[in-house]
Amino acid sequence: MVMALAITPKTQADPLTGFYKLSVTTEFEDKIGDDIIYQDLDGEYGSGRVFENSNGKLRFSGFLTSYDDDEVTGDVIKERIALVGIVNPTTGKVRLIKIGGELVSDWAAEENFTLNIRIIKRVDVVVGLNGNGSASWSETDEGGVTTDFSDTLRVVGYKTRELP
Amino acid sequence: MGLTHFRSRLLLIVAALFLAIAFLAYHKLGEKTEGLSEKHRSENPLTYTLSPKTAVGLDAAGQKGALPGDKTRLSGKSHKRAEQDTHLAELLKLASQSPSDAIAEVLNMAPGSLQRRAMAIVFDQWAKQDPAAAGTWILQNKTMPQQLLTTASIALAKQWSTSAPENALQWSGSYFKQTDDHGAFQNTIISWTRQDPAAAGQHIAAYSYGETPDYLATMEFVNIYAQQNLEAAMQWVETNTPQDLQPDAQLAIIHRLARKDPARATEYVMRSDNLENIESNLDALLLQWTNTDINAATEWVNNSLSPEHRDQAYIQLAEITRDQEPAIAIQYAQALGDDNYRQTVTKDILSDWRDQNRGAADQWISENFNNIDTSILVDIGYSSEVSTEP
Repeated sequence: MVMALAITPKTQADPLTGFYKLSVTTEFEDKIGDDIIYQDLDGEYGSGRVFENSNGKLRFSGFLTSYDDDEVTGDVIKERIALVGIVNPTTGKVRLIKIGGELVSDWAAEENFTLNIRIIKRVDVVVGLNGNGSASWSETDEGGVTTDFSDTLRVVGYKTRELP
Repeated sequence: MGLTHFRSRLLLIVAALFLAIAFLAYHKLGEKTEGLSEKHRSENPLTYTLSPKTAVGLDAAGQKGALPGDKTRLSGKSHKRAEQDTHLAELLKLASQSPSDAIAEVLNMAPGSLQRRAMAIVFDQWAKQDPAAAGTWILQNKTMPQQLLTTASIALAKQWSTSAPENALQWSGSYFKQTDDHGAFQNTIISWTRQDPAAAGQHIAAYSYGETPDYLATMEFVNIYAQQNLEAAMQWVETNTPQDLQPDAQLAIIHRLARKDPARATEYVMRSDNLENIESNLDALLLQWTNTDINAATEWVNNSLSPEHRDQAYIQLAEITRDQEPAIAIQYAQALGDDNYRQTVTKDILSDWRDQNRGAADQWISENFNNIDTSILVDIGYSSEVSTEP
């Protein structure tokens, strides 16, 4: 009995469930041959929630806010891109199924898209959410010039608070 | 009178001769045009040897190819692209004769989008002829680069699902278990549902492929079915969805309904059968609805929900607005009925706002100082900073 008490952790394990803030940084690089013709960095903020549904399964629901310029008016258009996924309770891996209503697997086949996100726990405490990904494809214009496009994605996030 | 008659006859003869010459010249020109056309065919085999149907087949494999019948685009495309397309057309021919040789050729290509296009074409073709053999080959060659594996499996699954969807689903379920790559399984469900939702729905309700595949199957089926026939999809969710996937299936319905008809989506969320999942359902509803009309969404929350559910909705609205409009997010947080939530959420948003833009946040605090609980200001370090300022 004494031994059992001695090894009991002082704090209760931090659950994966909760509110998370996340940011996605994308590095764009467009090349013709070995020449870089365009390079840029873009970022999107977002937030998400890992929750247990009524059947005890861990799910992820969130969004990224994307900004775009209206080509006609020049106004900034803000749009929330929904993220839907499931969470592995053992590994913390977040398997995104859809991003903005589009299948992640379609992007994988067409643009070499990958995105791996994982909730990181250290000594039973959720310390953050990390992810990385990439996309690459080529396009040849009417003049026969092939441009190689590549995006490198980095996801960083942290748990802001517990669910109510 | 006689002279006039003669002249008329002469004119008629001249006119007839002219017509005869013109007729002969027209035929001669026609022969030349045909000759040119044949010559052009041999120079650009893809434009003429690929029937529109075949071109559709290529696109069905998920490729960004030339549009079928779009001759302007075909004739205007670059020489390099034409070379690539010729190569792919030859590869398609080889795939129909010897898939393994075609794959060997694809694996020798430089990595990139052309290689992936080629892989999809080969597996699309092989799936038409012998999908089981193609599936076996993929499972025996799982060590090839991940992107090629994904491309091959999706091309196979899409094509196979048109001829034998049950077999395609069983194979892609097995592939999913072995590789943790869900693309082929997901695409099979989508393809089958588009073709025959009744059969797909019956199968999904009756068979289990494991926890994650079942989740994917249900979500994708409901999503596609709801696009085709929302009423039928809602009925399917009610009667056929396994109990453990009910919450997910309801979410898929709400995602679709909230975009199309938010008022009906609210009715669906508030149905007594669905109240068990109201938290996640509200989450999905508000995420979609606030994209189009945040004022209407807020009004509905204010006027239609019970205090407990209203708090859940305010928390979600605060999350949605906190990055772009923190002042509005704090208003939602301050409207929370539960004291503890009100404190926690307000503190969280204010603290974050100060980290991002201290000037704006402190300006807002100074204007709303009397409305914010002093303990929150202490916790975020505002009071101490203000009191220590000279």
